[in-house]
Amino acid sequence: MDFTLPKKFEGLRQMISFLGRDRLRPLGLEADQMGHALSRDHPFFTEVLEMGLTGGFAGKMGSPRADDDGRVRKTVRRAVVMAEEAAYWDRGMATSLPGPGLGGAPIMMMGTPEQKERFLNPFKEKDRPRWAGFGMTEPGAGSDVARIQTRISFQGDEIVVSGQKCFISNGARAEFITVWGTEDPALGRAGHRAVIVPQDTPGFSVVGVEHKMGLNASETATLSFEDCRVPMANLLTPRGASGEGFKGAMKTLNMTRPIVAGMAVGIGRAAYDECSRFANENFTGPSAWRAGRVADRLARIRRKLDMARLLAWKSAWEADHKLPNQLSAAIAKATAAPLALEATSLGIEILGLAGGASDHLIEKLYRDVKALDIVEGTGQIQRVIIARQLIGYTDERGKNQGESHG
Amino acid sequence: MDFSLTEEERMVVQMAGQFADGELSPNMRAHEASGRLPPELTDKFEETGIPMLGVPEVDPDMPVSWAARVRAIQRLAQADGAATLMLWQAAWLPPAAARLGSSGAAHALVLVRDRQQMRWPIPCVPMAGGNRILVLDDTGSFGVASVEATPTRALGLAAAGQASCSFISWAEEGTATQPAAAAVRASARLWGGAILTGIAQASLAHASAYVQERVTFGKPLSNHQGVAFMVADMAMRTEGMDVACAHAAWMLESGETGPATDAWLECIEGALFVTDHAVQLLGGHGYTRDHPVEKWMRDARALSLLWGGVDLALDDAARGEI
Repeated sequence: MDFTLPKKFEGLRQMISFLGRDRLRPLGLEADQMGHALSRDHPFFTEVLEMGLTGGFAGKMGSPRADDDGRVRKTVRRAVVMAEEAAYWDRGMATSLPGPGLGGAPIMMMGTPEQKERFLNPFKEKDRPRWAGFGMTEPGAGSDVARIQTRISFQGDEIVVSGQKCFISNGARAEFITVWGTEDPALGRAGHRAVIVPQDTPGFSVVGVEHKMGLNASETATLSFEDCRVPMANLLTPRGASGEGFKGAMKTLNMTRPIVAGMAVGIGRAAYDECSRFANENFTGPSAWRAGRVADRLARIRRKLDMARLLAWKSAWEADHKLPNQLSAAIAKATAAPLALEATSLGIEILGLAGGASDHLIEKLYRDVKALDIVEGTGQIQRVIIARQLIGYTDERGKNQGESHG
Repeated sequence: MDFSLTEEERMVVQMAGQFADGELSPNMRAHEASGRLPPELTDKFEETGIPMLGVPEVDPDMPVSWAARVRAIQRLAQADGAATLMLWQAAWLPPAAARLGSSGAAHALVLVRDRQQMRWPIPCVPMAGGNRILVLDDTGSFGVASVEATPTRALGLAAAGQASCSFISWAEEGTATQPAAAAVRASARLWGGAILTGIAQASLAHASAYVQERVTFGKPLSNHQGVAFMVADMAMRTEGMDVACAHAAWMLESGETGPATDAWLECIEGALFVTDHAVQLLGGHGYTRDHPVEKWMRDARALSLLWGGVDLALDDAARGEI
């Protein structure tokens, strides 16, 4: 065993830390006050593009990708460490960075060389910032992917996509959306397909952008697909291959859940630092009687965050080694997100009314972090996955419960 | 960032597993009833060579990482935490005492804030039939107390020979360096955390098997979501304890003592949660001695009181916060 951070990670982490202090945090606060994401032509996006820092938690900051040559890479571990650092400064801004991100991940994992070249190579260009979207969730189907209604049909040489997707990060500014749908709901998993739909496809439209409790720097869009026709070459999952579509999606989630856990730890650490600074400035002198009580609570939350980070690292290590990590990924995410919320809540409590006022970072962290126990499978869904793995949990319907998760 | 064990380390853990399943598990209730471990068992344990591996203080150059040693202790404690505590303490105490600068042989370690103001008698200490206690305080001041040890019934850890101890005299007194005192405190907590992790792992496994067999309202308990989520929460806690111990071991190996205290606190909290939930999941059956979970719940609670328990550890953990 070895718990040191590789030297290469340390350099990259420092770069993100520098960018974070200088840009991510101030811009994140600005976006939060505006109540929406920075516009896509904001100079910041060109700036990071020139720095070579792209991708939300993808691109150089470490995106999950398929490693076909059998070598063990540190891809997911790097992504976890960088995601923690970026989220420490501003999680919303980190998700809004240009790059293929989560939308590009399925192409990296399952795409043909031609698809990779056509859809991912443009991200290497620096002429303008580019984003991609991951279109899985629908208004009527989140983690219960068996209920997904978006239809994918085949007409001659074309694929026709019809349906609605919601909660799509960067969805309104994406070059393309990786859309998950079904060829025939009666086929169950065997009918699931993934298709790449470029944003200029006739029939594609942005229905709206969500107004959220937090993470306002990150754009969350509802998208509509009305008979969108794309060439057969945009199909990510071959026809007839039973269940390949969603297996691919779930593989992506096994890699990204430890990353979300890392982000939660990052936000929790930011809250800890804020409240630790406040306590050290204020609970001395006449208020020193309070110090012992507060110190215990600070020590507890620091310990909890350290433990959650280790869970994320372990799951990432498993993912990098191609070991089954579905269980550890669910454990890491379900553990880290509520603890990070606890850290932000403790911060507010210790700052008192000052922590509740909207000009203080801590109340924004509290609003931001809540999302992490919801995105990519709620804490409840993570528990379903854990129980399914450990005790073969199934629900009344028998076969469907949790099946959709891998 | 590597969580793997070497081939050699895996063998050590495997060896601990053989001893645990062959010697500790089958006799768990017998050892509890007799309030001690038979001397043959201690001899057998020494023959395996595991105690040497488990005590880096004896041979820091052993080609096995501390994290692997933690795994070995966990594996033993999966069978019986009380017996593991006893076996481990016997192997670990002499070198730990030597590290402090004490030559006296002791049978138990007691950590206190201030040795001069500690209160006697101590109501229960796992003494293994002995009559000397090594007492170490926050300032590094230590003493080996000769005590009158009266065997006593206690909440848990019966196999470790719980005894009420009255003070007779200091057989030896001295002052350890701060780093030595910190290292001894930390390694007691780390090995204690490892035992608690093993107890939690066993409780989780036992409850997991039970809920899949027991049928209520027409389906296995495991298919009731309220039950399933309890198991999931237990698994989350247990994994957290496990990584905290591995990390603390690795840090302690390079002289960093803070994470061991954190791991101890994490393991106490986790073990109390997991063992209680295990009894709860088995319901009435869990409350009887027909199942081991009630013993594990008592052992975890009793073990968490050792070495100053939560509060002395929190003193260390919270010291730097404000």
